[in-house]
This record gives sequence, structure tokens and C-alpha cells, in this order.
Amino acid sequence: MKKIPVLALCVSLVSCVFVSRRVDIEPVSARSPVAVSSPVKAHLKDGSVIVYPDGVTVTADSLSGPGTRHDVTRVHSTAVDTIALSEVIGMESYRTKVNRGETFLVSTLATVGGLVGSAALAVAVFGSCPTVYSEDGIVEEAELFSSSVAPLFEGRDTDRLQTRADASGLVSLEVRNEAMETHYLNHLQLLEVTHAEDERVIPDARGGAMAVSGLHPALVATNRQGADIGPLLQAADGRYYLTNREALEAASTADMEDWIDLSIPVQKPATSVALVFRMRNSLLNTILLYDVMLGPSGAAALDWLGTGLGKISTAVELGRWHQRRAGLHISVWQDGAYHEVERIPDSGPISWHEVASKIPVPPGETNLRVRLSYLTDHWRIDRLAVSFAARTPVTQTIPLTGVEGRDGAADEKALENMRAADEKYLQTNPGDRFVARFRAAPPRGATRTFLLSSQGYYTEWIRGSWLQKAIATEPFVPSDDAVLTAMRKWGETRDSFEQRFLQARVPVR
Amino acid sequence: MKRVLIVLLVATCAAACSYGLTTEKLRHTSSPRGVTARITTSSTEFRGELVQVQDAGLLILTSSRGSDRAPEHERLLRVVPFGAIRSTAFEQLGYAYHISDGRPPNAQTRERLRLVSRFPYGLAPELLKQLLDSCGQAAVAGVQP
Repeated sequence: MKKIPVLALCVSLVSCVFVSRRVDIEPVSARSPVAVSSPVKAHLKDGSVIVYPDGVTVTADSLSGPGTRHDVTRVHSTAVDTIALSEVIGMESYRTKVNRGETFLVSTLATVGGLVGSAALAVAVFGSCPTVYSEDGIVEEAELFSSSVAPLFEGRDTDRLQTRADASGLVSLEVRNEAMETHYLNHLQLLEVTHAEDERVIPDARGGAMAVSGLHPALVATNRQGADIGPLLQAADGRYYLTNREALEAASTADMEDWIDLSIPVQKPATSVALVFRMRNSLLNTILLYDVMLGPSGAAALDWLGTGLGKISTAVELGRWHQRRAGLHISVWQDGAYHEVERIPDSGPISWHEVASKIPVPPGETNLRVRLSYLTDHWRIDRLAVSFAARTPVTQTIPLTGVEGRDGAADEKALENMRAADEKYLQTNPGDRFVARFRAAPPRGATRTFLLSSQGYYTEWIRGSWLQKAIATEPFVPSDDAVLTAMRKWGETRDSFEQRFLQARVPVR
Repeated sequence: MKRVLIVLLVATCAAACSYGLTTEKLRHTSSPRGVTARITTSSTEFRGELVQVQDAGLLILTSSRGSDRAPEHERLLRVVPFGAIRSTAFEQLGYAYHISDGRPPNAQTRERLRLVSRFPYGLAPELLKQLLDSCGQAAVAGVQP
């Protein structure tokens, strides 16, 4: 019920103030010129540069617009109208980024192709937020704020860590940028939970911690087609449930959901039950972002990311659409119908993510019926367990105490940037990595679990192929048609794309 | 949902309050050159254009050398090793771009500086030679006179 006033506020804001505002990009016809309105510099292979102070128009094979070309010595200059895209090694555009009390400049790179020394980047299709490792980079721990694709979507994530403190109490994590993205990390901290040996501490759907015990499988679990998938969900063994291909191909804008129905005998006198998941997203979101939201817009995506998503109207529109469509929705059967009681946000396609959700048991109910619904083939579910013994534990916050750059030297500036959720950010680029250290108390024999709490956002780099193959007739507008387009593309490639996706991480060592 | 409220609140504040450096004010956005730098070493001070950020130092095209009171005009391509840099100042750019005390910049500062240099995508040997020719140099100079 708490959601209602917030939703009302959102609707109010959108309808009263922002409804007439749209993404500030001129509509374009298929494969016709796309205007970038921000100032742009185009660096050419011969060392010269063309300055477009008022932006430039990008076609499939050229840049056009009034610019001034300066030779490598910057002594001689000539006016230019058109330059072949094949002559360009890279472009920079500029936008003013307003960041609470601080205004500063950021540059968005558009790599057109043939960039010397960036072969690894050119083949990368990997894309999904900062990745976190422990044990000297061996153990994959988490991926952070995967849905935060623009400053206005800056979000906080909580992830369960497998790693332990060393004998002195030090917890070390390696954070990498393995994607064609710029990451903006605002805050890193640990949450330490001391708990009983038979309890497992897991993040809840709202970023807090939950301690559960007496975990047991959900005995009856059937998919939308009525098949028993209970055995597949019993253990955290990497054998996961995914939507079958027929269901994916049958999806339409009128019906694009898949679901799993659970039947849970209630242990009296329980008034709530915790569902505990181990799952990750499929690459449907990635296809949606790359192939539907950004790729077809080509150069226009620069403006959409740089300006469009900086507008509250566009961000709210996208956010509401994402809220409605993404995530995993948990509904409970009561009074003859399913009622949504919780939504678990997306967690990204790379790491298995454990998350718990405590849902109410309707009064007098002896057999709880639960429906888990989501966009078709949006989730990979490895384990689903149930607990009637869940509690909110006491958490102790452990601040970030040190950062080491890739050269092993202490980086005080990075530490300052990530020590608090404020206006300061650590910015990382593809191939960057650093080690974050947290000083906890030395182990004292009690069982404890660490959760990583992180806050930030990331922005995608615009691929050269997107610039050259832009086909969109207008900027991206959130819609179910867009989701269905992504599903169709995902259906064509899902068997091979995941393999390529994981192999194409930008190397950091 | 609390997050939505916070995001909306922050976004509203962000949209309402805008001051400081903007794209329109930054001369580098409309200049073909790198940003203007002032680099102080233990023995002198160089002024000039940031040409390239290299692994071990900054490649600059100097316009003068020496103190504010008695600058000597020069036009040379010089590499100033990070270890020799006591302090830096880059025109219109703030603390986030600073290098000081002989320490190499961290990855973030290095990336920022790269983007405001003349050649953010690198400088091929044949292009460097053209630049050297234009300065009448056979090789890039160091920090010594």
C-alpha cells in the first residue's frame, strides 16, 4: 500500500508538468542523417581534427555539417562540409553534467573504428555494470547496479559475498570495468551480519538484509505450461530453469509474460513466508539496451543518453515502463485472484544473485498459492527455497578504508570519491580495475556474512557499428513493441549470444 | 519506491541548480588544440599546450619557460616525466585534473587529461615527426633547458 502515494506522485509529476516534453532529438527517416546537437570533435587518421562547435550530422558513411579542419600542426585550417566516416578514428562530444552542487564536464566517446590499440574493445559485446571479484580475482562475487543506465537512474545494490575476512579482519574485493561502458561509482561499503550457524544471510528485495533458517524446497512448482519444475529448483547447482523456446516464440504484445506457480503448505501459526532465490537475468535486457534502445539510433543515441535521459520526463517515462515490465513480480492468491505483493528488481546477467522476499500469508490460509511472473525468458532461476523462520538481523556498516589502483599503489582520491554517497564519483573506463579494502574486526569465532552495498550508475559507449548501421526513424520510446522486438532478436540468438557475451569481456590484466 | 522519490527529488534539484563550468564556457570544446597547461618542476615552469598523455609523462608544446616575472619564449615539444612534476594547472579545469608531488596521475585523472589533450587517440610516429619538423626539432626535448 505504501506504493500507492508514490505512484500517484509519479503520475502527478508526469501528467501535470512533463507530459508535453519529449526527447529532444529530431525525428529521422531510415538511414537518413542523424543530427548530434552537442559540440563534437572528429579526430582523423592523418592527425588532423575537425571541430564542429554546433554539432554534426552523421550518415551511414560520412559526417556532414559546417566544421573547421585543422592539420596535425594546428597551424593551417580549412572549412569542411563532408568527410568520409572511414577517415575518422574517433569522435568526442561534450555535454555539461549537472551533479547536485557541482557542475563539471564529461566527454562521451564515439569510437568509429580502426582505433589503434583498441582491438579488444572493438570486439566487445559485453555490457553490464561493474563486476566484483574476490580471492585475487578468481571468485566472481557480484555485478553492481545493472539497471542504472544514466545519472537519473543511479541506484543502490546489495549483494551477498562469499569471501571472508583475513586473519587481521581485512576484506578485499577487486572491482572491474569489463564492458564498453563508463562506470560512475559513488559509494562502496560492507554490511556485516553476525548470525547463528544454521542461518543464511541474504539481501532482501529492498536492499536490506534477511537471516533465514530451516530452508526447504518449494514442493510444488509448475511452469506456465503445467510442467513440474520443482526438482530443477531444489539445489544451487547451476542447473537452472529457463523459459522454453516455444513459449519465447509465442510471446506477443498482448501476452509476453511467463510465470511459475508455487503451492506452499503453511506452517502454522506463520503470518509470512520468505522465498529465497538464486538467480540471474538472461541477456534479454542486454539485447533490449543494445539492439533496440541504443543501436538503431546510432549517433542519436549520444543525444538520448547525454540529454534525453537527463530530463526528468524521459527518465520517469523509462523508469515507470521498466518498473512495470522488468524484475520478477511476486503475487499471492487471495479472494479469488492474484495480488502483487513484491517486485524483485533485475540483478544483471553475469553473476548468480541471492535475494530473499518475505511475503504475507493471508489469514486462515493453509496452502499458500504464489505466482512468480516476469517477461518471457527474462530470468534464469537456479534455486528457489522457502523459510518460515526469517528475521531482520542487526547489520554493522563497515566503510571503505582503502583503494589500490592497478599498479598496487594506494589511491587516496578514489577512496575519497567512494567513501560516502555524495557528489563525488570514481569514474572508470573499459579495462580499468581497482582493489577495494574494508577493515572489519578480526574473526572471533562467531559466524558472520558480509554484504556489499554499492551505489552508482553507468553509461554505455556508442559502438562504431551502431553509428554506421543506424536505422531508427525516431528516438527510442519505451513500449511493449520494443520489448517484443528485443524478444524476437533474443530468440534468434540466445543459444550463441550468451557464450559470445561472456567471452568478450574487456581484459583488465 | 523510496528510491524513486529520492531520484525525483535529486533530479529536480539538479535541473534547478546549474552553475560552474559548462560546455559553452569551456574553450577546449571549440579549439583544435589541447588544453593550455602550466607545469611546475623543481627547477622551472613550463607553459604550453597539452599534446598527449603518455605512459611516463606529459607531452607538451611549450610557449614559454621560466617564472611569471621573467618568462622565456620557446616553442618546443617536451616530455615532462610525472616524477619531475611538482604541480600543474590546466586552463579552466579544476582539481580533478591536477598532478602534483612527482606522483603519476591515477587512472581517472589520466583519462580526463587524455580527453582534453590534442591527440586523445594517440600520436603515430610519422605524425610526431611532422610535429617535430614544424618545431625545428630532431627529437622531443626533456625538462632540461
